Amino acid sequence: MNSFSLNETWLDLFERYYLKQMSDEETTDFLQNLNKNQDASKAYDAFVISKEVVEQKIEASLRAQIQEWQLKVTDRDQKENSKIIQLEKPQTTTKPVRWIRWVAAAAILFVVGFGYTKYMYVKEYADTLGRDYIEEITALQLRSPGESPEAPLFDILNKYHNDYTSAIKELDKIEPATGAVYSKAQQYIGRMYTRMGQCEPAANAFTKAGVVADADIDMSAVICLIKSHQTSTPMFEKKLNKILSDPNHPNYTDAQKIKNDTKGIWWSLFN
Amino acid sequence: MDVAEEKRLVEMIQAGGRLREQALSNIYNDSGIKDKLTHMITNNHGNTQDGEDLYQEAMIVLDKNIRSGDFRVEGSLTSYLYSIGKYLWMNHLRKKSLTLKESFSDQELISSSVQPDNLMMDEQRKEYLKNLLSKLGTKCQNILEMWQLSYSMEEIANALKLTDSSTARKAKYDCQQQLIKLIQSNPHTKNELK
Repeated sequence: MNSFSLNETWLDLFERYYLKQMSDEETTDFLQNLNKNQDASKAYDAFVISKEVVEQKIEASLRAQIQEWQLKVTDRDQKENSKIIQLEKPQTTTKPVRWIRWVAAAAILFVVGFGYTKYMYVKEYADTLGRDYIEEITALQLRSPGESPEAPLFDILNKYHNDYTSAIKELDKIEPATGAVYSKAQQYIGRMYTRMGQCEPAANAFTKAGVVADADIDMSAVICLIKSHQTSTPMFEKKLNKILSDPNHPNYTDAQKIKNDTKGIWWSLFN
Repeated sequence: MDVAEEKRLVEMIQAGGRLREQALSNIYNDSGIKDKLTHMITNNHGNTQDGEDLYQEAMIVLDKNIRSGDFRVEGSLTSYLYSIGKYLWMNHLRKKSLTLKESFSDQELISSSVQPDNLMMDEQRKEYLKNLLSKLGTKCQNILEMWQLSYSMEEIANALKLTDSSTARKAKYDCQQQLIKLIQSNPHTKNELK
């Protein structure tokens, strides 16, 4: 058996054969070499699988991209369909007794106040969830540097505390070459943008973060849709249902709560 | 979307890189085909949300099949996309012991090389591939993704803040080697090799 080392030459040959870029003569030579060398043949099989593995990443990125496009479409449709509600002046024929007017006014105030409080309670989910994101980051600040491979992030987080704009600027300087640290930095950037209500840059950062931010993409979109009053859109329903379809999703309980509360009449009335 | 426009979009996807992104965005935002698919679904035991989900799945299959050469340029892109969606929905209904109320037209069958069984990857294999991907660093994931999508080495170097194209090329080789070794050392690889 010939000795085999998976070097650049072999990888180039694999690539060209896989993409059908070889002439007939080259193909024959390549296949003969492969038949002669079992290790090379096994490496080619693994190379073919590697293409499928990368397809999984391409698919995940396209899904994230499509969701961004859908968010834009939803946003555009929302603007086009927004209606101006005109209030008609009541036509009173008789003058009601003063106390009846006071009781009516108090009742209306009570109902509106109760409803508005209920609405605010639900609406604050967006901010509460955003705060949870940051709380996780704050907890990291308490760890001593050197304790984890994410130590380079702590300095930045410690330095800027609640100054997200500066923190984002610094975190964004972390090179992709740092691998997992880069992913984590992008994940934090995404969460900070979400907290600030900037949904598009948040989605971009989560995409850059890769698989570590898979769960963030959906929750961030839910938070953003709540903030932009788009809870009656199919996109909102879809994002929420996606989280709810996975009981192990880190935001499953939040999603359940949001689902229940955004169904209520007060939500529809004030949102 | 006329024939020339469809042909141009297919060529853009095949060319890869930013052109592919642009073409996919144009196709996705063409409401005609989306509405047609949604209409088919609402007439066949589904709702508009199913239509939206299915359109996304069909776009993913379309992109993959164009890049892999499974789609012939002379065919109609929109009919192809519609056929993919229809096959996907038919598969979905089959699992629920339901059937499509309408059959495939000759035109749809001719324009499409899609076969239902080819569209759905075995869940176990998908899990295996995803598991391998998760073991590869983000940097390598991004480099190999961009390479597979035909981005130039200059574009890869710029996007990933690498010094220059030769650094990007070296990184690409390293990542390929790393992934192949991961695959070879994975205990499930033997079962997954066809």
